[in-house]
Amino acid sequence: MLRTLLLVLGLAGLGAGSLPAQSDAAISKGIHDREVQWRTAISMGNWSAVESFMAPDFVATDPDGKRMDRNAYLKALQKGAATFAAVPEPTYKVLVYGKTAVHLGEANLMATGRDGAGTRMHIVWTDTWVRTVDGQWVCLASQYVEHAAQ
Amino acid sequence: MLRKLLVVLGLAALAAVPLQAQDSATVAKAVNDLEVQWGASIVAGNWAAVESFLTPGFVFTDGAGKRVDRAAYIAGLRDSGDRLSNLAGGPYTVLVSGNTAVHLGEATWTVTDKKGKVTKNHEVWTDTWVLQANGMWLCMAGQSVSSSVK
Repeated sequence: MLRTLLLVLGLAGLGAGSLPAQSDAAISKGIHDREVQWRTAISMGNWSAVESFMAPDFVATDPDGKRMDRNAYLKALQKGAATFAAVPEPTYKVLVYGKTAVHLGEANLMATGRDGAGTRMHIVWTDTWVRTVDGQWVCLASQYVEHAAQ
Repeated sequence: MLRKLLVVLGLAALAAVPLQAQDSATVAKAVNDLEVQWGASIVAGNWAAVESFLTPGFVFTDGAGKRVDRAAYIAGLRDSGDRLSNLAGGPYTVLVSGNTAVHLGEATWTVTDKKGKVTKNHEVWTDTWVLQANGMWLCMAGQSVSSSVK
């Protein structure tokens, strides 16, 4: 009886536990890798891949303070062509707290409008990532600002 | 013996449960209340109170893409010489995922600078809050954009 009880409680304890713990450094690298993959997917126009990085209730906030849900964000990207380029001496930082990670990043972006005109921009963002129950990290919210690149 | 063991195991199970399981609506209201208090503390120039809403590793990103840590954020507010008044909160949304809450908010306020020049600003932000082990919600990152309004 006692053995059964211990087994049941042990299994309950496992069920209540989280997925394997990751160090903050491992989380930072994992999140940054996903950010790079996200930008690559945008550059390639792979919209299903882009969508996979975002939570269903994802909200982006653009430099004018306009909010967009996931669908609106994807549509906005599809309106023009955007290619991310490497930033000389790129800086990024990831703040980690439990199952929350905030990616503070920047990149250069070559945006091409429907008229074919290209504009080189520098973009700075704050992206909030959360770890889901299946262990995946997805972006819940993003706010970014962009200026003409120097 | 069995009774003693059950009590010990019961306490262990309780300790494994998140400190405060709150529904999303409760979290959203609590976090928005903290945002309102944060704004009121800025208007009142109560810098100790402002600091109490922020994690030690807090990073703020302004509309120009400049990043500042907690100390620099508070110093910037305190030392600017600007006086803030007529704070009016706007619509808001809080995205909740586990112990993470992202406050998507906006507000207008009046800024009176050192020379007495008065402007009215509208600010839109994305703030990331995390639930601490002691049950407190603290903001770990924020990005905002502001524009003057007539």
